Amino acid sequence: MTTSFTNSAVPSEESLLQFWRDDQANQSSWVADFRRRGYARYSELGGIPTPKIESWKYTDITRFKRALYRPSIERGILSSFIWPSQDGLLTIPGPQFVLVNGRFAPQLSSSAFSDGLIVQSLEEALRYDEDLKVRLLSPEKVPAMAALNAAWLGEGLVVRFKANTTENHIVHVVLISTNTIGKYPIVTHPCIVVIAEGHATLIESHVGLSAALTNMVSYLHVEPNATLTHVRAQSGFSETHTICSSTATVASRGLYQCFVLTTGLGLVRNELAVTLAEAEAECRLYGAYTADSNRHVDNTIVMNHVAPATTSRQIFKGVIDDGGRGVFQGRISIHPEAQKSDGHQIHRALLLSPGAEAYCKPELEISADDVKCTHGATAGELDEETLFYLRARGLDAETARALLIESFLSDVVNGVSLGLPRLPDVTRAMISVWLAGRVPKHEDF
Amino acid sequence: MTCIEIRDLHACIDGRPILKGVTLSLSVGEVHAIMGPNGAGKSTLSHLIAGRPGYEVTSGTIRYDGRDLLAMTPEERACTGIFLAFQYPVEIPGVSTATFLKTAVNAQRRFRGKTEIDAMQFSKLIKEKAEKLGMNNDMLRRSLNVGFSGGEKKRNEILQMAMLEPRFAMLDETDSGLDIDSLKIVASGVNALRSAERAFLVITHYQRLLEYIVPDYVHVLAEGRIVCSGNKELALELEAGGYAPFTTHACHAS
Repeated sequence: MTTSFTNSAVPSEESLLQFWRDDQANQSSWVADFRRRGYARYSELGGIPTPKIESWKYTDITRFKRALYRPSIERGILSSFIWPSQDGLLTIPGPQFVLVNGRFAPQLSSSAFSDGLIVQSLEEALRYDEDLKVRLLSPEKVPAMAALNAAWLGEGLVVRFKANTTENHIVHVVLISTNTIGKYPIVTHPCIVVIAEGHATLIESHVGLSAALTNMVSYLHVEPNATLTHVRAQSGFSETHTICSSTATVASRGLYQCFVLTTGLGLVRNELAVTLAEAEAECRLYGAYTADSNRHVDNTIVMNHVAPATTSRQIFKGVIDDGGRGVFQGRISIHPEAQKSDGHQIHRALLLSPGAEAYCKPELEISADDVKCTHGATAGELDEETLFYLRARGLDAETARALLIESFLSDVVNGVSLGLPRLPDVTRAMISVWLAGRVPKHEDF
Repeated sequence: MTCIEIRDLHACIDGRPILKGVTLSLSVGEVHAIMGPNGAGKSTLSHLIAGRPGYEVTSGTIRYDGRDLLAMTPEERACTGIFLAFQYPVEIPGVSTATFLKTAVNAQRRFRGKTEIDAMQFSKLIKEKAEKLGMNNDMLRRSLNVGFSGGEKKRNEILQMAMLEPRFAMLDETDSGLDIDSLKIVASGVNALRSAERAFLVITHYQRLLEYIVPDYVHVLAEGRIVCSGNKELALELEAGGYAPFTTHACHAS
């Protein structure tokens, strides 16, 4: 027997209409209108993207059309949970705000937060906060998965960092996907809005505890002279899939710096569009990921230099083993008014096995003449000479490979502390867990 | 006491014969030098002993402390005391010399059933040994060999040898690319390790290194065979007359 909510990840119109009727907490006309526009946009774009769409060429999510998913409607379903031991990020001090299947779970979250910080569930904020409504992109302007998210608007969190202290505010946002009732995996549509003034740090952990699809959207606003440091760690169960569509807007002399670490989950797509909207805005993106045995990790970046003297750096590194696939699509777009801008991008893939796949598509669109813009991409294997050197010093083949993988990732791991001194250690530990859990598939020499 | 015994060793790379019947025996307490022209097979011999993949031994044996060396993996060889100082040491970004060496020391200790070395003790030991080779703390903290000069890389090889205390150490053209000061430092590092418990095989093109590391025996390897063996005087003779007489004729110096 199926319940009326049982559906594929692609909702039928009836199931959406029923959700819109039943969702008592979000009945304002603004929300209702936004949802309708979201669904209209999603339909207009032809529904779930297929590989025929250029930006989805290497990441096929059409399987989600066939799979049965249940929208998550229940609230407050978890009273406690066991934090997966491989994720050491929570050892970094700071208040924690937990979303269970997209819904804010106050019973799992910190209540005490410092001056200058406001954290609210999205549905609560939508009732009172008029400014928030302009912080969301119009459904007409977003791609299909973000439009689908808009059709379900209501889940999620709003984090406002205020500028009235010089202190670095660190906030943890934890997204847990877990299936507590029913046999169908769940699909969630959280929306996270961050408005950063001053010196702000958001540590975002995605934890898969059971089969689920998270179709997340985030809007990151970096106000003038502010710094937003954003760490996104994706770990856990490979039956949990995540599609994140993020939009970051950086105002004058603002800095958005982000480190994305993916050591778990099944299919992951991190789509990030950054707009360096005003003069001297800056963005630094770092990514480290592992992909193996049917895991798929896609980082798709669009870096828009819209204003003069804006700077961007992107460095992504992937370690890919048998059956894994890594995708990197990076576009740097320098608009005519963005003179004196400087954009740089690099992606390197380390292929551990002949069955590993890496796809990299850099694109530079330069419409100003006084700019610097470069990109680089490589894919290679572990160096046999170096492996022999390490074994000739007594390291067994697996230890030697692990050391070389650590070395490969070192410039994004050791080099990136982002003002969080414990971050490199935590990152190394998460990578070690991945290394230890992967089955050796290589014959010794 | 015989440390390593090579008998009639024939080996190919990609089907091309490189070693064509090498017979050589070293006892602990001895330093042997191997000299010979380019392409004679000197480096091949040392890499083959260390366990480098890609060589095919077509006949012959190598016994190491009574064991069949050719049946051992590279790491087993290292853990039982075989050490090769590389002619071209590799660079490993993001892994410091100290971290790398600690990993190696502990890998070898575990193999021998010992507990891991205490971090404080390790740090003290490595500083002490590095200082003798003119390497400062900064070099130990930097990524392994990244941005090191040729001389610094070779010193680093000797530091590793000093930390790992091998039973049989091979130096593959350690003198190449060294200025005279570095050469002296490297040689004194090697001499400090000479002991009745340890054997050395020093591979070099030039007699110069052997002025500082004085060998007990000198062998000439040419065309894949040891064509001549003698004492340290042989090296002087080679310096004066070149290798040509040895590649065509039988040896008369010993």
